[in-house]
Amino acid sequence: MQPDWVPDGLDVDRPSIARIYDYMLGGSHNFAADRALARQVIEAIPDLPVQAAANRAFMHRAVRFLVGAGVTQFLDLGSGIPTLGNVHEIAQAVSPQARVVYVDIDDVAVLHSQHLLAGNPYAVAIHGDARRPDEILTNPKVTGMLDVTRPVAVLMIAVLHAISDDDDPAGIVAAFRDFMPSGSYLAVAHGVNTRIDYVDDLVDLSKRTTTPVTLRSPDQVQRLFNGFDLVDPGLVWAPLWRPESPHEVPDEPERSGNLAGVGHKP
Amino acid sequence: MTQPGPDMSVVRFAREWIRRLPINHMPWDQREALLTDLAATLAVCLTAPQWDPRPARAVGTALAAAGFAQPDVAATTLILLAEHLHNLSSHDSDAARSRLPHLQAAVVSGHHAVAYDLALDGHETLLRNLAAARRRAEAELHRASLYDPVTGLPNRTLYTDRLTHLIRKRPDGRASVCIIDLHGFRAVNDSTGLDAGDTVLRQVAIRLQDYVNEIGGLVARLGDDEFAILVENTTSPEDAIKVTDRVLDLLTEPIQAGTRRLRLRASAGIVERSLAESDARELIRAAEVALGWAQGAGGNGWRLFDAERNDEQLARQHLSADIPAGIDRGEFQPVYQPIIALGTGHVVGAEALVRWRHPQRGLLLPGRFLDLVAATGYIVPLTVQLLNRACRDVAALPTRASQAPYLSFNIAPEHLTQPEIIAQIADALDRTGLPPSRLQIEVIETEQISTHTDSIAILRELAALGVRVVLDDFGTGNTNYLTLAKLPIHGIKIDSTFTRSLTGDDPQAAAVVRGIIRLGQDLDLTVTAEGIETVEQLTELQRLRCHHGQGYYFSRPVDTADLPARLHGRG
Repeated sequence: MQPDWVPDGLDVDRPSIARIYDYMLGGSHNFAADRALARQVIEAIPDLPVQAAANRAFMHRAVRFLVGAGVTQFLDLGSGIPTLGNVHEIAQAVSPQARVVYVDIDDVAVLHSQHLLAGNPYAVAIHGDARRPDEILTNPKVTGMLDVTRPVAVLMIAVLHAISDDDDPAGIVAAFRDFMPSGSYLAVAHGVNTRIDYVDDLVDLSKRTTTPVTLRSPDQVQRLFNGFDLVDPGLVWAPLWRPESPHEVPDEPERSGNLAGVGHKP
Repeated sequence: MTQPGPDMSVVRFAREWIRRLPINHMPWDQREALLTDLAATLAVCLTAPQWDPRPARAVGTALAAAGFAQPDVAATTLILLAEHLHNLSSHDSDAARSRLPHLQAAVVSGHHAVAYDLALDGHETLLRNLAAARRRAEAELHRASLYDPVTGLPNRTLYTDRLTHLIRKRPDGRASVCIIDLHGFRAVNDSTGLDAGDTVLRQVAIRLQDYVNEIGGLVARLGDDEFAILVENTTSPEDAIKVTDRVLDLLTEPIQAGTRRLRLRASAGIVERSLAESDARELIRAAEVALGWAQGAGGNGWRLFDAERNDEQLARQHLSADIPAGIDRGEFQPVYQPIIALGTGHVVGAEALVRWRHPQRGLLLPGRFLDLVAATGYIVPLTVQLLNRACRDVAALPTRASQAPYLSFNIAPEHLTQPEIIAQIADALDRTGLPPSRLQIEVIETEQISTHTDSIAILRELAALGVRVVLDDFGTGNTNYLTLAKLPIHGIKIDSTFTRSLTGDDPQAAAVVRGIIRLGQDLDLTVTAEGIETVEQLTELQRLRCHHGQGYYFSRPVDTADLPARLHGRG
């Protein structure tokens, strides 16, 4: 039996979405319970690893785009288990002093990130709940790392669909928007409910993780960018967002199941 | 010599490779460059005159190291090699085909070795992190059980543990426990909110901690607004007092809580003693007892625990506990002090006074127990019991109608505000047959008597019953003389200190007493002097025409049985 002082994220018998995501990306930072559920999920929805990969690849391209646009500060919400190609690796490869704050609700993910970031003066990982923007934005590690007088990129890759309507995702995005200075960016990848072949399965299976999933319509996702101007090409299937080569675009981009976009705060 | 660019067929192979491989963090052009490079190496392996597995192995290794470590990378690469072999070796495809299985094996082996190591490393890190997270959670829990979350100071449990440890470690040493309580802290919370309250507590904690850091010791928060300091190696109570004085001083500095500047007051209880045969909980309790004394003394100071005083307090607590049974068993009994008409020397009445015949402690005077009776809420039942008894005693006295003595009976101020008192008195008179004219109620002159409308109404009802009412200890309260004239009373009693001052060395005091007697006479009130002890006092009172008097000069209080004899004496 699990001792009762173990926080949710440390309960290795309860699947964690961060660790399932890691498994789908081919990572090894997961436990038997995560893998068992991941295998079931993949059986029901074979495209899920494709989706995870598409979101991850979108994140890579978005960060490179943002660094190119002059952004040197990143707040990555729901950063998950760090695998190769994290925000700071990509951003600091171009801009060595780019600052990155990773936030996740999963303790193992946070500890792992902290381990990885030891000795990196420009990146920190904190334990935080994206549903509580105030707690994140007033965390001394966050205020110590991000300069709110300069543009900040807030990354919400595959995180808003882990926030239920009851928790008011639009309100949460708005709270971060209000904190972001003019010239900042918001990058979102969000699972949509247009693929009727698996939506119910996915939602049901996700209820067994610590963070159930709410898939939304493209309109609903679009509205989350309220107060931002979407940069080209707007809100599109994740692989179609600024591919770095025409060869990179898969034959069926809709298999990504996630719409992706980057908004600019005027 | 110029480096030849990559063969276009190799580039095609590389592009197809990228398409089939899982995602990777490298930008597309870097990925293309890497894979083109690796494809070129594979082409060389296939066409080299001598088969060498090492470069092919290195390709697998490089793939995994570049982040293509996922399980399906090897499978994807094997199929690609089989399908697109022609892109890598257009010249001698038969030789290449025969070499293909070896090439595939070498690539897979190289890839697998790195991927496997990476997976193991990753999992090991994961497990270490999990263990660290659990330790942290456990430590947090442990901390939460021993430290106060608001101030971060040790809590009562940890303070007690440390003290227990100290007693075990240094049984021959001395130490002091000082407990500090903030005054009116609840009011701070109520008026400025919990956040401000927490701010105050944190500031107090910082001040105490800073000071204790200088002198060495342990600070803890024991409860709501209670802090404790443990100082080791004291040599005498003086050491503990110095620390406490300084601490109380530190706490008088104003504290900023939000927009308000608060001035705190605090009390402290100290115990300082040898640790031999001490017990942590008992030491803390002793300091808390001393704290209670400091608070009882008005606060803003300290008290040192004193075992004797504690024993006395315990004795009082035990005595308190005996009161209900004492009332039930009739252990509280009246005694009577005769009241004499100073003009004639005849006994005109008797004041009932209470004694407690305690089964273990013997005869107790009211000074030992009356405040305990009041504090425990037994004043009313005790009064009713005594009143009935006294009325019966006095009613039973053999008397001639013309000089039947009256009973003078004291009613406590808190009893006088209760409307039931009228019924209780009427009931006692009914039961015992004592005529109302032979009952005199003594009420202490307090502000309440002269200003409290309920009390005045009760006095009126008493008068209506036909009972006499006199103001006891007159001159010690602050009854305005105009008010006095309007109060429904029949007499005043002069306190024994006034009686003594009549013949004392202070002519002004004597003049005041003479004034009071004259005032009573002018208002047509019976004036009774208490505490007459000498013939000089009696003579002076007679000269002033004071009506009645009582005191040791005439008689000590006597039991019911001795009362008849006194009635016929000179007094």
